[in-house]
Amino acid sequence: MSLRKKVVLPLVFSGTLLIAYLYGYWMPHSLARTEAAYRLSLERHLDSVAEGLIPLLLAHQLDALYENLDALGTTNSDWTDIRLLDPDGRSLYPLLDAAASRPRPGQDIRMLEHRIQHLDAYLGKLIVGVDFGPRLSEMKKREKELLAALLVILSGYIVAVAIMVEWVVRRPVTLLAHASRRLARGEFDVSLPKAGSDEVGVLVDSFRGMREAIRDYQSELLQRNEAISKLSHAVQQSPVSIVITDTDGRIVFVNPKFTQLTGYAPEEVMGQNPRLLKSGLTPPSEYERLWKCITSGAVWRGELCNRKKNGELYWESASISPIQDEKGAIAYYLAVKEDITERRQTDEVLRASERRLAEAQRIAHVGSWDLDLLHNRLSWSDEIYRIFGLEPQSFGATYEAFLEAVHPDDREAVNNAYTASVRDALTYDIIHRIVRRSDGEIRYVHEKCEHVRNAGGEIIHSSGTVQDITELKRAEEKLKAASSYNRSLIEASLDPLVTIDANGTITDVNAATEEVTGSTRGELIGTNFLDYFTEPEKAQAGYQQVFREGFVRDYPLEIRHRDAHVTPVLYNASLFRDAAGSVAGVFAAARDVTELRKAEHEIRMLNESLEQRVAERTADLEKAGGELRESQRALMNIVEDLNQKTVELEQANSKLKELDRLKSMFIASMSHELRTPLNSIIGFSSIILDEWIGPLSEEQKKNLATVLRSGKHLLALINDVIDVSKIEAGKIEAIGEDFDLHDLIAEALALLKTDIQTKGLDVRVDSPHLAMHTDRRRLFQCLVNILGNAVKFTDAGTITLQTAPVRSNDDAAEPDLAEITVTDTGIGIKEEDLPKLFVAFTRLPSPLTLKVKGTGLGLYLVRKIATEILGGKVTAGSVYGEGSSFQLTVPITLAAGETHEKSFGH
Amino acid sequence: MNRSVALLLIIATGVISVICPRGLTPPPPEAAVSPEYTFAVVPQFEQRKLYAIWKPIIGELERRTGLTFKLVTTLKIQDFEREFLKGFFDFVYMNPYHIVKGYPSPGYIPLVSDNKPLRGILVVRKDSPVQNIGDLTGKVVAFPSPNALGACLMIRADLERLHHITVKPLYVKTHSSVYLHVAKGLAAAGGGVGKTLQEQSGAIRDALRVIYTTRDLQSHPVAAHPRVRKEDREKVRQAFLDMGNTPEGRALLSLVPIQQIVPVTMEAYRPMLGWGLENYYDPTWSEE
Repeated sequence: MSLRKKVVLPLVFSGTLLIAYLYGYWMPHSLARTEAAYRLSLERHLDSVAEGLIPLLLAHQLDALYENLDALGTTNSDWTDIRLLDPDGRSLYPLLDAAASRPRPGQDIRMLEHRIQHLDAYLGKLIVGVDFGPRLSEMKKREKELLAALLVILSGYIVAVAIMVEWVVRRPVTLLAHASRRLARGEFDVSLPKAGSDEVGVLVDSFRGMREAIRDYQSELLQRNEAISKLSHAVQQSPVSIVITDTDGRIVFVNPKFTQLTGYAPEEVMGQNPRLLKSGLTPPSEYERLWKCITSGAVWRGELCNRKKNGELYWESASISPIQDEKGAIAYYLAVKEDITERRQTDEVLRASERRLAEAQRIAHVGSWDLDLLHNRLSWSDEIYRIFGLEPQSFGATYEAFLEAVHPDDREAVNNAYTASVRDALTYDIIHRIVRRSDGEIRYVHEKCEHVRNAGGEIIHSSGTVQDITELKRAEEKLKAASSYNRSLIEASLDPLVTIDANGTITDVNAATEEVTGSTRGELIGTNFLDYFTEPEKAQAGYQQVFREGFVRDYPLEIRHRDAHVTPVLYNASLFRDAAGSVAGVFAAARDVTELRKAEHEIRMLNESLEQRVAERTADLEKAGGELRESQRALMNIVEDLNQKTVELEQANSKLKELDRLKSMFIASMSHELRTPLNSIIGFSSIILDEWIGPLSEEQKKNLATVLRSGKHLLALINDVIDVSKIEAGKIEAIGEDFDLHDLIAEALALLKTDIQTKGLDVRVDSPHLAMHTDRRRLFQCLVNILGNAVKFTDAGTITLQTAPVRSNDDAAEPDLAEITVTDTGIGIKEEDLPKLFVAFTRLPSPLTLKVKGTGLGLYLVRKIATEILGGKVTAGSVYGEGSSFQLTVPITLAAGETHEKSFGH
Repeated sequence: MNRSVALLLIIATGVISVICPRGLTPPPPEAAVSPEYTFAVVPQFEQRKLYAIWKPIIGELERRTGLTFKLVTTLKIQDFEREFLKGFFDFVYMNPYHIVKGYPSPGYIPLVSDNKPLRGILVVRKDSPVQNIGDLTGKVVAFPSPNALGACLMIRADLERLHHITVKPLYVKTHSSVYLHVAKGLAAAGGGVGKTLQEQSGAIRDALRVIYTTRDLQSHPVAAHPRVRKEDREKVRQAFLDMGNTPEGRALLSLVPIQQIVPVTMEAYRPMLGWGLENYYDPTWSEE
């Protein structure tokens, strides 16, 4: 269990016990005590209450009793039930005793009874039911709070302790434990916890001290160990067997080599005598001598034949020496033994080998010799004697003796060769004849030797071989003959043949090759085959292809002759392999293809003529293309004609315009011409009528008035007609000026004032001021027209004139139209006649037609002006016999294009 | 100059006398100053309450009559009786019984009283087997005190003298106590007055019923000692009657309580003399 658990668990356990005790025992008991105390205090209270009740009871003062008890009930809210009984048990209080009025006894309601005594008289019983609930629950709550606080504190304490344990003890201890473990492993560089001033700190310091001490011990130990280890390794790994015996001859130590050699494990031989290894083949005398030697303090050396554990025999060369202690007395015997079994075996093997060598020489007819140059001693192997047919005894074993055996014709060459080889460090490798002494036959021999030098570099020793190659020679001659046959075959070929080695060097050629290249065989062999082609890279590629695929067929190349003429050829080549099967080179044969080439050329010429024909055909096609372009151009011309026609039309149009202009001029001049005489008529008749010139008779006035009226009428008619024609011609332009609509209305009314007054008509005007910017004159014209009609066609009644600014549509921010409404109570207009109102020269049939003068153009003009010049509209409504209403709506501001002439306020 | 001053003074006086006649009017021939009269109120309630009720009335009286009064009372009824019988007080407001008791000596003269008569009532518990007063013979009947006029004396006089019924009285101090005793069944019946019964809570009233009402008796009078001058007596009487005619005066009097003040004479109380109430009166009874 961890330290933390050890510390914390008891705390937790005891804390739990405490809480359990408090909750299970102390709290209930405390509550009970509280209850008892309260009960006691209540009883005392009741005592005093009862005392107070005594005089009231004695005096039968029930009302005062009631007052007191009521007050008691009110003051003590936890008194659920107060009852007073008289001595006979009859209820004195409360008034109503119904069980319903008595509260059900809750679990915390305690009934207290108090007997009321006065002196010896029993006056009655006071029973009070008190609800202990609130008090108890208050108590319980407080105690629970206390408990909770205690719990919290306890928990806090335990946590604090746990943390303290963790920080102060467990962590350092764990670190120390960890450090110890590492220390045990020999790692000294561990971090130790900080040493405080407490016991743990002391521990840490001690640990640190211990670590240093151990470190020092360890380094000393390591050094010693190293030394011992070295010695130990030497002994353990020694290639020789080491056995240490005590003075009684019992083995105390053997090294692994011993075990390896003998097969005995150390534990098997400890305490034993080494004679367990005896094989019995070493004579006992040898052992006696051994013992005598070593006990006398000398070292014994010798060879012993012993037996391994598995029974195998082995030889060992041993030296056994006594080991003395500090005092000089012999403590141990050290035996160092080397296994020489192999060596002995090797000697055997060597001898066997020599025998076999001699045998081999005999079979191969190769002998070996040695010439000691210093002492001029020649030693021959047996085989040489046999080759030379000499007996060892009869041989002088000198260099001269050897020469004697050589064929007289070759003697000089041989001597020269050897001497030169010795002198000039040349290779001695010669084939010469000898005369076999035994039968006098001439034999061929192949001699080789190597020289041995001393430290100074002089040759002191030669060792060589002699091989009888007579059979070989004979075979060679046969081969040569065959070879020359082959050769002549090659030379006979008309195709150039060549052999190229793996490096691209020509190794052999035939006569045909000489001819096609113009170089001799000697010049060709050894050169690079690529040199003789017009396209060396192509030749190289072909060469490589042979290596890749093993052959090429009909590979085209051109060989350049020495005199520069070129021969086209097709090469057939293949790899050839040597005796081992590896690639030795390429064998190539060329085929003259001059004729072939010629034929190819003719074909080419044919192709060229064909191409020319094709070119001619192409030219024809191009010509056709040109003709196409011609027709295109013709189309363009037609388009130009069309354009010209358009221009002519425009000219006609302008002529029309000209006519129009003339028409306008006519109108203008006509208006002037027509109006001028009229002005005179009107003017003069007016003057005369006003009696400015002189008095007039009534008849005269009447007639003149007629004249004037007629003149005015004619003028109006002319004006209207001219207006109409102007409008029709589109000649009238709107001229915008600023003015007040109110003023305009007033002016119009002023104009018609006389007529209105004469007729006795009532005129109502509702015309607010409204600043407008449009064609004042034209608007005035419309207004006068409509108003005039109203006056004309109303005999009696009212004419109402209203103006108001309105919005053209809901989106307009401000009113942008002026609405002028003229309503009258005149004769009205029939419904079917309404459409004819605004038609030119149309007067509606009415009773007033004869009485009222008119051109029939008025409303037509109004509409024309209103819509086309002012940009508004005019509408009419009527009830026949009751009256009419005409509404003129024009934009307050004339649309773009107007001219700004007069200002507002004129 | 002196003559002018004197003349001026005379004229001034004459003018002033014309302007302010009242200030120069000689005092009435009735003595130099009327004496301060004692006005005693029977201690029906505790002193403070009593003074609170009667002080304003006395003040009003003084204003109306021009007389001066001193409001007095005693702590105990016995003391009051004693002083009353000595004739110590000039004016009294008291129990009608005391009038009878004080007749012919000191012989206080009743002046005014509440028109509403005094009556005693006998109540029983609503579920009581007692149906009429005859069932009460020998039963315990609760009374406030033996000397309570309406609640005890009159009832007992009626029961014994008129109906020849004897009961066992239990004195329980107050009218409220009487009703509670009856309601709780501690007495077979209880004596009280209509007014106090009305003052009880609904629960108590609902628990009781009235089985007998006594003969009517004129209510508490304001009386004057014979030594008081007749004019002053009549002034007081008139003042009270006048007060009863004004809303403010009625309000004051209703606290006494007097609901409708009327003039009375001894004649109104004379019948009481023959009822034998004194037989049931206990002079030794203490309210303590």
